[in-house]
Amino acid sequence: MTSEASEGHAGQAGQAVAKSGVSRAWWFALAIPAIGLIEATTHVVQANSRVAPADWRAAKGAIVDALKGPNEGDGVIIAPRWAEPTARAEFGREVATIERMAPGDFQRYRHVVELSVRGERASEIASWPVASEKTFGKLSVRIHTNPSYESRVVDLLTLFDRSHVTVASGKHDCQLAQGGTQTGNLGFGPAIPGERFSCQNGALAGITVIADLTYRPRRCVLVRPGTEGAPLRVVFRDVDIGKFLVGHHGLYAEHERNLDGAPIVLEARVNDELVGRDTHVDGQAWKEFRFPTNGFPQKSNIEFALTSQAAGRRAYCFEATTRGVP
Amino acid sequence: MSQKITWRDQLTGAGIATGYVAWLLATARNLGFARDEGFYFSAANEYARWFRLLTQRPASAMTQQAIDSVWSANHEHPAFIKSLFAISKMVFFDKLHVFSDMSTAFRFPTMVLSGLALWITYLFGARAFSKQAGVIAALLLGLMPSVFYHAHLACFDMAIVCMWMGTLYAYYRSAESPSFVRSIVLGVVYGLTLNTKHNAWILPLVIVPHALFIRLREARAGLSKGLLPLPANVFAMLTVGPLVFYATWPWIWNDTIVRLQQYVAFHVNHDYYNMEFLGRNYFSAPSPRGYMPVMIAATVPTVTLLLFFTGALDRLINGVKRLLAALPWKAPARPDRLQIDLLLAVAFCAAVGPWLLPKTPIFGGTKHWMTAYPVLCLFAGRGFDIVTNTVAKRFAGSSRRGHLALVVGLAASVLVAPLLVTAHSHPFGLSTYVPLIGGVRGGATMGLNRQFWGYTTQNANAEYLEKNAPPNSNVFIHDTAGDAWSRMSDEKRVRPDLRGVGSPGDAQFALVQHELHMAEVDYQAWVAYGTAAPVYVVQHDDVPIVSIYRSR
Repeated sequence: MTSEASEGHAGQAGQAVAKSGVSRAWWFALAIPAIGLIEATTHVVQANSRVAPADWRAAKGAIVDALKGPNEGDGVIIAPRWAEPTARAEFGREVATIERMAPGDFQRYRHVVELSVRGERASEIASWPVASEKTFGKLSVRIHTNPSYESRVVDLLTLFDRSHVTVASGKHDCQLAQGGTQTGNLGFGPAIPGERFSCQNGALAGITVIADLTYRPRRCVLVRPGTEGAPLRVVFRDVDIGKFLVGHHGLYAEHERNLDGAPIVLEARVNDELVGRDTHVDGQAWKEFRFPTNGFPQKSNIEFALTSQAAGRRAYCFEATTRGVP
Repeated sequence: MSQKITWRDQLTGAGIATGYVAWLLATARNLGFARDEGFYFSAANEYARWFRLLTQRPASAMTQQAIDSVWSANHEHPAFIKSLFAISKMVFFDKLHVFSDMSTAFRFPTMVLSGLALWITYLFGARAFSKQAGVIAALLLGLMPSVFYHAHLACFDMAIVCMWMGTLYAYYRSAESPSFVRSIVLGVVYGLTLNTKHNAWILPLVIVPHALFIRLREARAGLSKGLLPLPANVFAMLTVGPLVFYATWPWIWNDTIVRLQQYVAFHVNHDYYNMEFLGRNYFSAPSPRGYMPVMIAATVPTVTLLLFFTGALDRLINGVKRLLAALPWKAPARPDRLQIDLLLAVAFCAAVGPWLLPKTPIFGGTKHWMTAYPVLCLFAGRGFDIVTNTVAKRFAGSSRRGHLALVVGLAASVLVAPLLVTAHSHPFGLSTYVPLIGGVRGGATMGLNRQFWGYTTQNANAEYLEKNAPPNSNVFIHDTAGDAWSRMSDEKRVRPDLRGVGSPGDAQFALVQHELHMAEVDYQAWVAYGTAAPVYVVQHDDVPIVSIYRSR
């Protein structure tokens, strides 16, 4: 570095600067290198401020305790969202089950355990009261209580097996088969589960996890909807009925985001009686439906009939629960 | 008139460039291969085959069959840089054994061109403002995390930064001191720039208006006679340039018009790839207009930007004063400070301007407007001049030693943050965001892109697979291209017995390189392996980069 900055153009400009009065604001000029030093210091602090492994272990212990016994069915959420992979790895298979990590919604839970990194809060439950909170370094484990909890009677996905479910496409019954899970790379769509109902016309139904329009994971029943007059029917037999049938439906992000696919109509029947119909239109993302089911026998059959005018690029998925003890 | 440049300046520029190339070489081994590098490695290998044929049997090499069989590889991009990759590999790897990794030989030309970009930036700064401004500009350019990352790669993005600046510099020199040789040099450099990347198409929009503006009187006279009075240097650029472009890209030697049309159509109608911005995935037009300015603020060290704004404001004020003092057509014909500032300003706007248009895809992140960064740093260098001048008047007194100490101290204070951030960014340059927005974690929280091109597979191997994968395991390599994986395997950057496969369901281990839209691949792995829990997560400052799943 030399003093040549004060020569030539820099010197001329320096004179101009002096004339314009900027030289009086030497403190302003000094502020830039000061900000440079602050930036350097901030970087060092940020780069050396990592969550300690011991804190992860302690937080996991607290979460395992929170999910013991009657609370086993409670939900788990991680904030911020980008920390999920690390948290799932730290939690392990027992805690980070697919069911917990990809719920249809959080309203189904009486309590949700929130793992918060650096004080972040999950927007889904931010307004819920905190029943307890423990802090482990940069991690916090909060137990939130659902202020509008309606008791969940049954999650239909837990019944998705040969003894409870039949699937038909048009007039053809579909068979439950066990094969290999089909996967691919980006653009393949949701994994086609190894255990699935397969139909002669290529239709299928099986539990997978889709990336919804916001790329959140949703565990649900993947189907290819039938056509009008030949719907795909998924029937759950001997289901404990509540006051409401509450569920969600949506499509794999790449099939929904262009907003050019055919709508999908979901009709729900309890013991062959239509209780509700909801049409999913591209852009509605992971959409809730809620149908009243009061007055039916405690054990009833629930049928979902799914139709669409065009089946192309329609990786569609739904899930449902019965809620509210009658 | 600009400052005089001596051999000492060339030595300074060469020193900066050499130091930068040495740093790049020293850090090349632990940076995995980006997706596109794999394609360019393959193309360069093909081109090397043709160069060999050219030296052994020139007549055979010049047949259309020989040309098309080789140069059809990756013909959607022009050939100059890939030719350099090929020649570097033939000379430094095959013949001289300078590099133990073939990939380093492929990457070496980009590294050299990156160093050259710093050198040219220094010279430009030294001429336009001061030697001190040139040094600061060159160093600030090298100390940008995104520049440092791309400077490693056998790709075109830093190459075009160098060639873009090379063309501007050659034009500037030919305008300052017109000569036949300088005009031809400008034409040749521009031709090679055309043969580097399509950003070059924009340069005439910078240079032609500028050339007419600085010769406004002649231009007006010519136009009144119905003539476009192009100066010789610009004429050479627009004639010699395309000839050099044609001569150095064998693919267009045959079926020229059709192939040029295909080349243009490919880039004009380029697919929109996915890119996260503020938590939303963009995959088609319209692109968010805030993308470019926000990403610059989030990835360029803040002190660099402050210096840039200071310098740019100074030049703007200076320009307005000059305009008020003497209207441009009364200005002298020879270049002066206003025209240099104008040239730099127009070049900067031309480099970033397309990203304010709603139809311009944003999938390349910051790399597509890196051609603006040398100019940004030149104004930052000017900003540093203002800082030192202003502070020196207050503190340094008349002592030369005191002034020198002050300048060194100020330089250190503005360079230390860019240096620390850039050094820390490696090998996760694309995941790096500046402290102002919270660093890597801040970028993740803001919903800014984590990475692209799948280059972090090598880190997944180093941190987990190397020690934990059973022999001959299948690994789903996600966004890593097959060619890139093969090269990593050949160079033992990943364990050679591991086999890369294209589906989680076919693998014992699945890698998921985290980007918002890649979530679908994450969830596929969950279903395939029956768990949402990775066995390991590669992280940078606590932010997940790659998840590794293991089948039961």
